[in-house]
Amino acid sequence: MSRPDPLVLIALVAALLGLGIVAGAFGVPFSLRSAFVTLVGLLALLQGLRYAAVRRSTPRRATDVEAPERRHRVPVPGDDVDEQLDVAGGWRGRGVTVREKVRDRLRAALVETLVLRENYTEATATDLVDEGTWTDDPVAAAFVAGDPPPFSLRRRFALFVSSESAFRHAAARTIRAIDDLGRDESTAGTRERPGASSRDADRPERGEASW
Amino acid sequence: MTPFDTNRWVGVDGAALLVGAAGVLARRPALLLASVVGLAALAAARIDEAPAPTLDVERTLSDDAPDPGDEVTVTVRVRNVGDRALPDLRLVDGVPPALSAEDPARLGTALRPGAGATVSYRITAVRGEHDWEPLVAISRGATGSRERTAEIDADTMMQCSPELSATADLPLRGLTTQFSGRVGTDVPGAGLEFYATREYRRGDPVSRIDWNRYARTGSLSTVQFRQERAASVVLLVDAREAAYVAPEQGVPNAVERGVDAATGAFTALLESGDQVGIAALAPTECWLPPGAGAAHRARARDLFATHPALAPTPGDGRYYASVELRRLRNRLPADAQVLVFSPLVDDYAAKVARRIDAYGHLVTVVSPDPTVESTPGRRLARIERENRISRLRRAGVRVIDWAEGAIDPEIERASARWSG
Repeated sequence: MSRPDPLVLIALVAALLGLGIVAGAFGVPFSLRSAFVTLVGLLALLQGLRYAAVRRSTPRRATDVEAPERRHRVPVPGDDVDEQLDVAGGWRGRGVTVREKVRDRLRAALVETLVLRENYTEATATDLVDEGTWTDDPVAAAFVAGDPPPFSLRRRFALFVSSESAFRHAAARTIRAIDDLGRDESTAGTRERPGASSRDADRPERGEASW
Repeated sequence: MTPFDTNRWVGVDGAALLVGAAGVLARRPALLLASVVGLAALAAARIDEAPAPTLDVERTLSDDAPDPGDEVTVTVRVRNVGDRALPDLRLVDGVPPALSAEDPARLGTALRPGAGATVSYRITAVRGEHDWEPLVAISRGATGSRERTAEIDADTMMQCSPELSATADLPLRGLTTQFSGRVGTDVPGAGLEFYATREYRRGDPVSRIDWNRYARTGSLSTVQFRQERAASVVLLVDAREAAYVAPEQGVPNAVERGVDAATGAFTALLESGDQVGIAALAPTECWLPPGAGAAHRARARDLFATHPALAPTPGDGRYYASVELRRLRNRLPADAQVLVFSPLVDDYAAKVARRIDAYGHLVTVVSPDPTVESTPGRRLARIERENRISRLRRAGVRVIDWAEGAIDPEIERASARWSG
């Protein structure tokens, strides 16, 4: 036989006691009409508040059915990078590893873009990235070189009050700078490009490669 | 499924006690009585149970073999065949993941024993074989305090085969097989395009004699044409999970666009006398060796429509990259050209194209562009894809970078570039 619940025992004793009082079996030091009724009311109030609090912490449950009317969702290319940028900006431990991963990927994409769009050799492109002379944007240059980003005070304040992390902001600026490479021929031609003379001589001509 | 509490009535006991307490403290019997109503409702909710839905489901389609883009009306009839009434019944139909419904595929109702209800909705057909998933029935008691779910199967299948309509002629490359066809070669012989003249030899047909030259110089010469031969082409569709990407929700993903382009290319090539085969980079094996003729055409149509590897949604299973590549290499006929349909969103597809090229097959990549620039990450993906295309072009692989819209203008633009 299982042990009786102590709460049930207390309730039983309380009920018997109550019946006894009402039947006049025991002498009671207070009036049944006023103080006792008020006490019962207060107890009910307390218990009611306790149950109401339970409601607040109990979520409603229902079977979750995904909208079948919608098509199967497929990702957009680059969503994984955006996710990594969100994680990298946080304070969690994973952030450090992810930051390194994102930086490496951006660096690889930058070197490849410099080689393909601006016709540098890979070695020259790597040097440009290390020196930070591939772009006019100091934040982008510092980001891929692994240096702390030289944010202005105004920008620091803006980042402090906004929800965007400094890492995400710097990464986004770097991606924009990479994308701008070789886009505008007039500026690209006038910009001083160290190492441009040592382009790969074996590379096929532009006309040949532009299939 | 076992029933569970919805927690819908949690807190009503608290509210009843508070009202009761207010009645006691303010000495108002009416308030005290009101709290009894709350407690009665609570008692009803406690003893209420969610009845198990025993349903008979029948699903009918207005057309179970539509063409892509057709509108199909799906009608689901549900009947309560149990002996208990279902006071609160919610039905959600299992629309196949590749299809989108234009109306709600759900219904909320109450069913007496023997009573029935109907829900119908419209869907737009897309290529593929679509199996409906079970209908989900969510049942609650009258008070809604308990809930249980049941899945009811009603086998329904829709097969949507693509029209084999040809796209613009895909420019193929160089000499391939010994059969006559449309690929120009550097071999003189029968054909349409002028190739060269040579000295007349006995037996040359009179119609081939260059009479203008004879009138000018007095010596006989024969005109030669560029011989045209048939090509053996394998269409290789990248249908790995990584290739299932789209610029936004609700538009065809890169695999669907790739298969559509492959379908068009298949017909165009077959009609011009080439031998065409189909393969896929996918977890499920997919291979149709190059061939020609009506039977081959029918086989291909069936494969494009129903093969799980080319389905509009990614399949289960793991893709073994090196094993699959080796298998493909062993299968490719030595003289086959390969048309790769891939969004090129990772390095693997570009590597496959270059590897096949290195094996000695002429490779052309048709790449549906799924990239956008709306966020930094997406912009990076676009840059990386552009770089992959540039790398392939530098390696001598032809690439058609197919933005949105029809593929024909892209092919024409590419052909003009290649012949220029």
